[in-house]
Amino acid sequence: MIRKLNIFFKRRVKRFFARTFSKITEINRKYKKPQIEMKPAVKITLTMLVFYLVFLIGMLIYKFVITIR
Amino acid sequence: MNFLARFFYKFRRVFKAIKLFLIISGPGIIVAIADNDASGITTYAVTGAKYGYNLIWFLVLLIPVVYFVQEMTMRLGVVTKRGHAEAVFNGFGPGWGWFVLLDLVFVNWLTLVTEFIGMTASLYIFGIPPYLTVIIVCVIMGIMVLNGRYWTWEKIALLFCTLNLIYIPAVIIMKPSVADILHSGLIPNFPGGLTQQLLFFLMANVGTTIAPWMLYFQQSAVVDKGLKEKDIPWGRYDTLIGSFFVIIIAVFVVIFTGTILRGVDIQNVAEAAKSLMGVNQYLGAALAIGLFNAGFLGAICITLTNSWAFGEVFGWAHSLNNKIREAPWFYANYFLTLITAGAVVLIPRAPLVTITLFVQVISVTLLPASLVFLILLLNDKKTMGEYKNTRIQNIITVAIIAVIVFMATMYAMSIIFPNLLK
Repeated sequence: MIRKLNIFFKRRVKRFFARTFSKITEINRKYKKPQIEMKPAVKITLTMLVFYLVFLIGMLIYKFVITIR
Repeated sequence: MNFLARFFYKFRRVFKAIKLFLIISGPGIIVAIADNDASGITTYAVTGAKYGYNLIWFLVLLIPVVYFVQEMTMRLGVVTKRGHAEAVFNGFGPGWGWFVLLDLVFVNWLTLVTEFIGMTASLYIFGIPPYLTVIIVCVIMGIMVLNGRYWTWEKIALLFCTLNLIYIPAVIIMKPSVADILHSGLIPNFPGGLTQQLLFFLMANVGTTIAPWMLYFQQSAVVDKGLKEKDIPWGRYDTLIGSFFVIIIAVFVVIFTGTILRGVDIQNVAEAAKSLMGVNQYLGAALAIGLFNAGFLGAICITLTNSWAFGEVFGWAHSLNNKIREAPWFYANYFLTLITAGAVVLIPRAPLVTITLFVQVISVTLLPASLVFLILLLNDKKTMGEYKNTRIQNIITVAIIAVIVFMATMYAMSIIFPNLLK
């Protein structure tokens, strides 16, 4: 009985993830062509800004860990 | 008779305008006042206790900043009829879209945790255990969304917004020195010099006043409300009034704790309320009730923001006007976010006030990315047409981004080089 329930839930979880991934793929396909064309300079600046902000978040998490210790 | 007729028609015109404004207003006022959520009240209260009235000038400077940012999101939502996350997916593709969506979900969930921190702490003063507060809040929030339409939800939210004004009469009762407030509060100064701690508090105040979730919420709210381009002027008034209220309430909270708790090391606003009750039970109760209300208001907006954003991107039905059977994933996301955030607060010995303050700083650090996408979307003539950003609006927004990035950099540098600032 427990084994059957186990298999049942595993199948449901598998189906859930399969549906979610296919949905994500569908979304990626739907928005594949951006409507706004970013100039290369803007794209590079934005990418650098995002990486920089993630670095700053890393510093904040480090400070948080030090503070609570 | 002629005078009476003219007076009557003028009165009717003004009355109609007020009525129209009351119908259209809502998103701007709600998002602004909900911005003074539990973490906001905590941040302002701790700021007031630590620095007295000395940082009021900094908060006043944020009024135009809040207005500019929120007005842009309102305009973007009205013209594109899309929420912010979907607008980024559509405009810039899935790469940037997923970044923006995950950024929103991450920061929103953290902010929701801080709302529950505030709510549980405030009701604990009245003897209600945290787990019961979490359950009660989840039930009330569930009823609010499941039994109504967007308009019902909005009017209930506006009612809670009025409760957020509780700090104003509380301050009036205290009778603080207006001369002191004007002298030390309105002249720009850095009490104790520009230290790492002061910078942290400045960033926390910016982060709690202009939170990323506000961009997403107002944009989705105007879409759900069905505002049209002709409603943009009224939307601007709505946003302007909201911007004033958010800072007025913030200033009053700072004055409140700056007067009665100056120099006291507040670890927890709820504890401050409890100790205040020993001095004046009404003031203590006002602080506690205000904190709960602020947390609740923030929670109802933030959970909706997440659900709207997911619904827009995944193509689910995602309106409060849909019943649960019509939009199951929308409501599932709503309750999942709510329950998981509430559960964090119940973890024993979690450093709740530290979490609250750090979440604000994280929030403001990630804000520039959201603002950059906002400017890019608002400068697209094909999308925005005549409602495109003006040069002044672009300059101001770029300046806001630059200041935030500079402050975040200074703070990060002060962590790496502790002797950089005093």
